[in-house]
Amino acid sequence: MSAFEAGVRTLHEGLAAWKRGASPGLVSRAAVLFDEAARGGDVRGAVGAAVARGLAGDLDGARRRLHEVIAASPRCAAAYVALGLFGLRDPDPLAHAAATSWALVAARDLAPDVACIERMLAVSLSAGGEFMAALQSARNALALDRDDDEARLWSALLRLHFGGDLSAATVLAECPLEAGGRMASPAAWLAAAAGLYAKSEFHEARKAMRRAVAPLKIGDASEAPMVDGARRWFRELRGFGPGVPMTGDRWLRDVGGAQSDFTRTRAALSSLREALANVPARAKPERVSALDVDGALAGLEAQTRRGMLEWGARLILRGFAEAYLPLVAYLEAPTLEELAAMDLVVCDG
Amino acid sequence: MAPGEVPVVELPSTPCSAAELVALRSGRYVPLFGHGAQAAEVRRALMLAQRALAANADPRAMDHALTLLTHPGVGAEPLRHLAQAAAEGHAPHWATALVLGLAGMLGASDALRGDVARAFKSVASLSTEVTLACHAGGGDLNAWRDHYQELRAADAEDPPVRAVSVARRWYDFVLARRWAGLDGLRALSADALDPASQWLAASADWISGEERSRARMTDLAQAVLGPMQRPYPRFAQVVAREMVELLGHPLTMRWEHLRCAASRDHASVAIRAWLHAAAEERFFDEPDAGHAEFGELGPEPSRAGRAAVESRQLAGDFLLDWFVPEREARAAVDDWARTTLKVYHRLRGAMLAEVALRGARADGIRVDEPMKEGPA
Repeated sequence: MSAFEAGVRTLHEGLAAWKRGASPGLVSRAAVLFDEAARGGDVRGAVGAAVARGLAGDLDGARRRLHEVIAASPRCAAAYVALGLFGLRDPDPLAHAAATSWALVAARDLAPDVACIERMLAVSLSAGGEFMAALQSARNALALDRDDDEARLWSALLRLHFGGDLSAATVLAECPLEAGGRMASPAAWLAAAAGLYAKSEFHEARKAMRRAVAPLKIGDASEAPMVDGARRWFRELRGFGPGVPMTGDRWLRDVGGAQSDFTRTRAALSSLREALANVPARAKPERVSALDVDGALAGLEAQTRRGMLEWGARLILRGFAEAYLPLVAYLEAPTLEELAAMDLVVCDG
Repeated sequence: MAPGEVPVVELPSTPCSAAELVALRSGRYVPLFGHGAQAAEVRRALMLAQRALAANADPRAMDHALTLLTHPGVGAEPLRHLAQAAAEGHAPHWATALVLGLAGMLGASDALRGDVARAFKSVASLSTEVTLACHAGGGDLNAWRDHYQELRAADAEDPPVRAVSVARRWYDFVLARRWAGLDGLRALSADALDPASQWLAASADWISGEERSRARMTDLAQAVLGPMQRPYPRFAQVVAREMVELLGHPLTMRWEHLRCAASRDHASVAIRAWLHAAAEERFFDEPDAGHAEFGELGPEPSRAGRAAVESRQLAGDFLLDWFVPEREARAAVDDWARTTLKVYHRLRGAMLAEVALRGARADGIRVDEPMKEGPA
């Protein structure tokens, strides 16, 4: 067995024993074995050494090593994937969102049609606020792998809060249940909370929220930021309100009520339209027509509705990434697919 | 023209000669109070105002008078000395009001009006006028935002000055298209205000579509201009011409203003309301939560929420509300606002000048008749 293969097996062993982090002894041993492989000129070894160190907690060291690998082997997709992985597993994923997206776009170019790369790209683009591109990536990931529940989750979230498609709320609410064993992370209940809240099932939403943070210890100082992050996100979700900001009474409330600038501008435009209709002789020399005012009224409404969705998405989706990704990184080891995308697998036979 | 033929100008003649014009443009003139805060200089200031605003004045006389307020070499230093002399009782107390009033009446640019006003910063009786002269502007260089910030800071001072509050709310409504500004102006107008501030508040009402404001603005302007008619007959014509320009197209201006209001980012205002609503929620402290298993969550938003709010604050709320994508409409409203503020400063200047003229009359100077050069 080569040093690389031994490193991969040790890493997998270490990740199998993941409990709020990998087994430190096994990951360290894997790093040493990968170092040995790298000294023999194996690029996969260099990537593996960086990954092992990153999973052991040295994210900066891992990033530095990966940048060195990329400088030496710019066509090594695994290094870009690893860089993206650590961007998403960072305690502050929003801060690294742009760099992570860059790495994952490069990885996708070098290794197209890999579902997990597309899905990771969708996540990082969501964290960075590039929602349209994120939705496309999530859909690509689903097209490549229909069973990718994580991609389904992000796609539904984007559809709900960026596209204004309330039917996505049901998908989100059922996501953790449908996924069953495939999506073991309790963090997925956070997405269910978003779906349930959008459907106005407030009690169920609160329960889902509690399930999401249930594995974390109450009062533990190191775990408190993650719990508070999730609570803060849920609090903002409540401020946003159920459903999407497009309907009836909800719309008026969302734009600030009857005394808001939006409502008063709309009323003033309507009254100008009336004035123009009443005195067309006065309006003609001033070159203002009722049609212009109608256009402005429609533009105001459409532009504000689109803006509400975009601002809502910025608040809810980026907030979700901020709360969800650290939880997943803390509770779950990288998936086998992700390890395969980083070439950290050994094919038997 | 040979350099030796260019005179040193103290008072431009009517009509202004080519040599005097060259002298004014090349800085060969004695600025107002350039000889010190003497009685002769006070008299020169009064004569300058008369020449600029007399019925038979040179068409460029107002510009020439503005030139004489400061000097490229010494700036507004002579006026600072005047302020000091007035404080010490060496110059009549009304002379400072006369000069500041003159700057407003003659339609000085934002920069020049600010220079003159800052020279009188130490004069306590002029503090409100100095604040307004310095900060109620911004149209010349599209520096509305900076002027608004200054006005906002001045408005926050205690005790509040109603004229400053009016100007600040006028900016809120006319330039940032915030309806709360119009409400504030209407509330302030219900109480006693000086005529120029009332005129400014009425102008905001006019652009919002209130038809009766036109007559009110005219009445207010007439009330201010009445006492100026005899000493400065040309002044009323200047103001009347600008008011015709301002009020000529009520529907167009209302439409342009509403176009700007419609293209504001109303959605970003909503997000702040959501975040505010969110901060008031206490998810884990609700009665049905059973027991408080987690600690109190502070009111601060998430990083994403902070970014949604802060990006707007960093850019400046006023700037974003003013700098709307409807460029043509914004330019039209800006032009209108620039002219409105010019007339507003003319009216404020006229109010100040009237106070000064009363002082001059009390001191025995016959300001209502054409003054002649030489000793009084």
